[in-house]
Amino acid sequence: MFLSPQKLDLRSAGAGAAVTRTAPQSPTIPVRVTYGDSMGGRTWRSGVVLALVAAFAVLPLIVRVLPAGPPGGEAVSLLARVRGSFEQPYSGFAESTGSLALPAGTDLADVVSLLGGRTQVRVWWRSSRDWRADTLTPTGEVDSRTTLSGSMVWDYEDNRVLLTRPEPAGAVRLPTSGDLLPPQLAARLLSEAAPELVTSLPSRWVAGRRADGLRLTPGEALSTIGRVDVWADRESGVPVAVDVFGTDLRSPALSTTFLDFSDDAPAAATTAFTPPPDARVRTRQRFNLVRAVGRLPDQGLPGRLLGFDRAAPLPDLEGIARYGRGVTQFAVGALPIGTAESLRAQLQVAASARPLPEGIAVSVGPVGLLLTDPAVTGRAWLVTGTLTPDGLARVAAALPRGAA
Amino acid sequence: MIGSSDRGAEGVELVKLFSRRRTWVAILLLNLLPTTVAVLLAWTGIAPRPGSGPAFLAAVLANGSLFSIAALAIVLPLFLPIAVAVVAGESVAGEAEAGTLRYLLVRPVGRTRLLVRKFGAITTFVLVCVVSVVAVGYVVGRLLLGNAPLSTAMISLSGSALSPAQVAWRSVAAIGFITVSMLGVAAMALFLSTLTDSPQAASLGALAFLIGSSLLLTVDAARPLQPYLPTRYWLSFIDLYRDPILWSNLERGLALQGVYVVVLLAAAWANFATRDITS
Repeated sequence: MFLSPQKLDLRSAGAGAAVTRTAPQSPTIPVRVTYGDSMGGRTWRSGVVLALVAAFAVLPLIVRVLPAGPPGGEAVSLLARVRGSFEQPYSGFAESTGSLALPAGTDLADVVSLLGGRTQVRVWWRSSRDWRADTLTPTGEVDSRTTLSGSMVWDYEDNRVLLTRPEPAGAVRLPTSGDLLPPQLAARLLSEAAPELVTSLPSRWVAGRRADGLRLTPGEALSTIGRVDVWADRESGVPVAVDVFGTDLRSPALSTTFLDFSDDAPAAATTAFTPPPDARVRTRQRFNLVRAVGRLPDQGLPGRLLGFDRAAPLPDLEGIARYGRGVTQFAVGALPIGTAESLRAQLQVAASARPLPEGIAVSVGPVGLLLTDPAVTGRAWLVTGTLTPDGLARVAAALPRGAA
Repeated sequence: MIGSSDRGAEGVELVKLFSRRRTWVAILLLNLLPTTVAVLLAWTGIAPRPGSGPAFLAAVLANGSLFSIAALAIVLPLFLPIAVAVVAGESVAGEAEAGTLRYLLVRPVGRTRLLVRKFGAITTFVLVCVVSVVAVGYVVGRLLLGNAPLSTAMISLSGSALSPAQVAWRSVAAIGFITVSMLGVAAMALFLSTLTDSPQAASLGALAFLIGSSLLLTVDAARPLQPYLPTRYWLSFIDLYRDPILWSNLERGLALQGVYVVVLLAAAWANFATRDITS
């Protein structure tokens, strides 16, 4: 129980000093009471604490809304600057956040984690032929070093190095954490952006540097990409933040931004790597499903689908036809019957599976996938890309019919 | 500047803290868990699967010296903060409960100075705990999990070789970082300790604060809050073992703990300096 000061004159002891008095004693136990400061002292001290709390709470908000100055120029010139920066050296620490709820599977565990969670990556980019990206985990890291002679992936916890031969340009593969770095993602999304589709965004601060914004709105009725926002470093033109929106424009389906960034060229020693003496060194094969789809010969797919032109076929993957324009891209391939039935069984239990007259469709954020029913379309076609379910169905309906 | 009488008074708090049996029991228990883990690892030879378990634990069977770092990762998420919360929660409330606080204040010592001394003693306790975990982990690791030559290079998380000198200074930096990381807990428990006469309530309040923070770190909807949660950067000490060292998370962790310490100590000071002490 706290006792009131009663008739004691606390001010006589001076501010800040503790005042000790002997309270009226009981017959047996002496009670000593040490009084604190007066109410005035309590008030100003509480004020100091509140001011500290307010200062620390408001500081991050001020930094966030601090104006980054006038825009760096017209959207079209910024687009040209960004495209011209793709070979620019840089280094930094980036964080990407995905909200794509992919169905879990053992073969795709890395992709599920990549697109459905938070990934932190350190990168040292000397050129597209010499770079290093470290994906950090709480207990280790997985580092990818790419040179002209191929890539080496070091996994600390597995004590393993995976060697991969150089990829041909435009090769089909699963996404890696390096693909989610702002410069890589922006390069992919803006590579075919038409100047009339881009507009300027207000500048902002990214990783403590001024960044100029660019918005790409594809405007394709069948596309699942609502818009793409890119911020590029004002000094170097290197993209430092990218937000990809699906049909829900309230929050990005995929967001990636640098937390630390430097446009200085990294040292060659930083990207060099020699496997540790006792590490297991293996050679990696390319993704099996892609090979399963691509190994079939061309099934007579047309040169134009839904108004989108077909891209040149990839080496060793003649069975896959790619179509698209800008961020609206899709691929079509015929699956072997056994692979198709295995995939159909997995899709049927997926939470977002949706039966269509042409087959079964699954949408994961802006990416859609349709596996057709051979009884309807003649073959088991796999159609996947940034198309709406309606777009996927229209592609399936336009595919050549053949014997099941 | 601290005068000789201040240093003497500081010494009184340290002597009082380290003369308590419960302080040494806390340090003993703190070292018991990693020692048990080392015994089990040595006995069964089964290390955690890669990607599971505390940092470095999968690698200690190959290099027992690494167990000193693994031991830190074992105690850091729960046991170390519990020990700190118990000791810091008792610092003022324990005196009040025992009826000795008013006698402390009878001496010609300001309440602010008393709080600073209490906090200094808790900081020393944290440092002793962390150093003891590293030392015991090193000895136990060398004895039970392999005594490779000390000149053997350690493989960093990035796959490069770290010389023994590099490992040594990085480990000293890790000890410092973890000590500072615990000061936010200590300041919270000390603040609560000035609000109540029950040390248990102060300790439990600080632990509830930490459990809440750890829980919010696992909730995607709380992402905007996560950079400001006190436990956000605790495990960033392993960034010292990457090559090159990732300084940014370490810097953010130190700055965040600094903010918590300043605010919570100010709150403790505001409350304690104006409170009427009756016990």
